[in-house]
Amino acid sequence: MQAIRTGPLCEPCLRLLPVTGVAVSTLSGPIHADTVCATDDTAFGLEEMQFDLGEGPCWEAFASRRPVSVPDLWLPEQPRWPLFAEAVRKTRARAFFAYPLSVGATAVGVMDLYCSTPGALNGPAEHEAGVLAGAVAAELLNRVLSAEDVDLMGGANAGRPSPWRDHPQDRRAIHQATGMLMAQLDLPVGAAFARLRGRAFASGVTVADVAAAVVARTLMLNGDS
Amino acid sequence: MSGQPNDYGDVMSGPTRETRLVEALVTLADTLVGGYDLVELMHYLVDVSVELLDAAAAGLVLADGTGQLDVLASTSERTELLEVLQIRTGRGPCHDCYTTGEAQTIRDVAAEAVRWPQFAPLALEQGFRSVHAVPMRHRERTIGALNLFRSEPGELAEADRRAAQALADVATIGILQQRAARETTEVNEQLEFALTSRVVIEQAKGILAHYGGLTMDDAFSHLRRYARNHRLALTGIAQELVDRQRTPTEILPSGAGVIPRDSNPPFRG
Repeated sequence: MQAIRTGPLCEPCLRLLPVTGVAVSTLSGPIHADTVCATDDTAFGLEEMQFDLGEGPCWEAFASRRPVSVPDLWLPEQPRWPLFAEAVRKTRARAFFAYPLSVGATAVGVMDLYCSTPGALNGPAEHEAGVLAGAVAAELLNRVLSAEDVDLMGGANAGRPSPWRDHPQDRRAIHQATGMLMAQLDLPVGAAFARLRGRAFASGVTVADVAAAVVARTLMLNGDS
Repeated sequence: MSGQPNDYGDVMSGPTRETRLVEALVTLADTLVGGYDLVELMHYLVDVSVELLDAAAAGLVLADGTGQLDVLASTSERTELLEVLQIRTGRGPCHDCYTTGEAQTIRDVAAEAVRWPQFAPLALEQGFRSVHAVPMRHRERTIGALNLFRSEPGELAEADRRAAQALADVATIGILQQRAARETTEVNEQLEFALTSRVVIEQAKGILAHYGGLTMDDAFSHLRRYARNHRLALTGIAQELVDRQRTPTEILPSGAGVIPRDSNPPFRG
């Protein structure tokens, strides 16, 4: 399965752009978000934060198919993403740039860039980021589509992390925990996922943390909490 | 109007014909904007060509994705035969029109017996004396040809040539647009499947794990065994579980260690 990868996706972008970190994620819906690669923990954490909160520049870039530029994350006027604006202050990111990854009319995900100092990308860097987003989108779409499908009857690749990912952490436990809550609380999938999300938000931890505890059966969410 | 003399002005007054041509183009455009059936559209195109242009018969050949030509529509069995012949032998004015992307005019089929030893005699036998083939082309890409067959020798009038090309152009853009949309839909569906199928399997594992008090690995083994035994797609069963159209009891063998509720760990914070 490794053969489908033709090279790292994030590192070339980090080399070519005046940014602190880069992450690339596939997006398909609120539950179907997964980070393919990240150049550092902050870049990965910013993706997870946006997935957990269900808001942030990456979702806006993905939905609008246009780049979203936030030259200063600490500016108070970020009413577009109130939860993200607050949470991001605990990270070392000060500027954030989200580029939609699409090939023709097919949207596959986002490329997120962060800087540890505030400031907009200059003209050439902005242009370069747009060009790189196009190349990353094509490569990512190619990786995803050329990966062997999950074996219909459940072959060796089923139940494994998506083969197009480079990042070691995956979100499978979140989906497993979602399923456990569905069975335990007799909830549809969206509501079960919302319960995980709500618990994480209330406890100030990530959805992955809550999910890990649910899967390990050290945490049970009761029926009406 | 088929088979009328070249001087169509005698048969049908200019404005009437122009009006009907505009109507035909509007009908084509309307069809293309809404959903349409490709074969029906092609039949409309050949019918309207014979109705409005100085042609006894019309036929349409279209290339598939691999460049293989196929007869999509024709106003008569006679033209269909001629086009099939050209496709099979790779020779004839319609075939040349497709390969060159340029309109082809054969003023007198009888004079082409040397050039097309198979096509010319058959065309004459079917009663066709001249042929005008119009490319279905968009920029550098030719996808087929609209072929007009006449019972008289001679050229098609300039106005008819332009009208034929206009009809072919509108149809071509519609076909290309539909193909592009279909390709995009296919890619989007594949992508959607790739990005969601693993998620659904993990969710299904979670459902079974909780219900049967199983580890995730054991839950997956049960899911996989059920899929194989019933020759069903793993992702399909997983999706049904997640959509709650299938119950865990169907998947798990009876007595697959269901943990009593009170043996679950106590609720924590």
